[in-house]
Amino acid sequence: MKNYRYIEDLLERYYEAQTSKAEEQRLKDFFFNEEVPPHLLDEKKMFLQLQALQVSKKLETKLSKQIDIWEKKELFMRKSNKERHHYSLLCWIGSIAASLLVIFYLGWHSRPLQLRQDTCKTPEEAYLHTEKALLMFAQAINKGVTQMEVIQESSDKVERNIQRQLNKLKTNE
Amino acid sequence: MNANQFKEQFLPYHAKLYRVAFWLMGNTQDAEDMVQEAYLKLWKKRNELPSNIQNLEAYCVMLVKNSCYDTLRLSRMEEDNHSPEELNISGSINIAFELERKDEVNQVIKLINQLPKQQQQIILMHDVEEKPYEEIAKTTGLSSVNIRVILSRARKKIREQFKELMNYEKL
Repeated sequence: MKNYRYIEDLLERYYEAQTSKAEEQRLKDFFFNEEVPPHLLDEKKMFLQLQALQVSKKLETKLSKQIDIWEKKELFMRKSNKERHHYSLLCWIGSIAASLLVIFYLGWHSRPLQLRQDTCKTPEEAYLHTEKALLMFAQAINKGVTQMEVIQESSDKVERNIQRQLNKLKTNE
Repeated sequence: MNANQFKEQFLPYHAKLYRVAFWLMGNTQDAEDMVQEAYLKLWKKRNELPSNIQNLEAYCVMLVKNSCYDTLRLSRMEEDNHSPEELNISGSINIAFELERKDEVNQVIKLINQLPKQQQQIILMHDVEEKPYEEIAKTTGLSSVNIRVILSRARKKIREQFKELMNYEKL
């Protein structure tokens, strides 16, 4: 009959909490992998159940941490999408504002001068002012034409005089 | 549903889901992967689960089984032309999980929960969570010697009550 004295001694020390980690592992190896005598079968069941609890606890801790990571990822993605949405909205608003500013600036600078100097209160008044301006313009034109005619007449006179003098010279030769 | 609510509702099933996954996959790593995959699916659809689910645990088990079948189908099914249930996966099954499958694990955890608070805390930290004596001493403020004394009492109590249970079952 196999001697289980070593295992039984280890078990005694195990229940006194005097075993090292290595010794406890030896006990587990025995119960999980070797043939266990009938008087130790209850111990085996207990060790197996504790082992199962260990694995279960490790898995629970791992899953718990993983769930926290999934939640953090989700919150981060939600926040990023919100920020991205705000950013693109700001860009959109900014570009529209810039376009309006450019249009306004161009429109302001391309307005005709008369508009800035528009001082007439009624259309009739504006018409009279326009008529007056046109009359003055016409008179100026006529004056200019007349002056041009005077200048032309004077110029003709001077030319005729020069021609007469030239003819006189030719005759004297 | 936030993470804490999710954990409260679904984490208690993890041991059962692991047993199912281990039984189908045959090793700890694959079983863990399948369980994690099932929890991720649950997390993604946590706010839109079908309202007519009567048994949430059964629903979770179904999720895990489907993940396992899909994985097995991809890796082994096409070669063997067998359904996952027919595959012989018993070769490397850990006996601990054979027990788990029969729900015998609950006996020890029930006994631990009945221990006095301090013994419960020490035996859980050392024998279940595998924390070293130094860490337990830091957490509890107890000396290494004290911790060993309390652990010894807890282990003896569990052994005594466990043997009573086994004797009762044999009757």
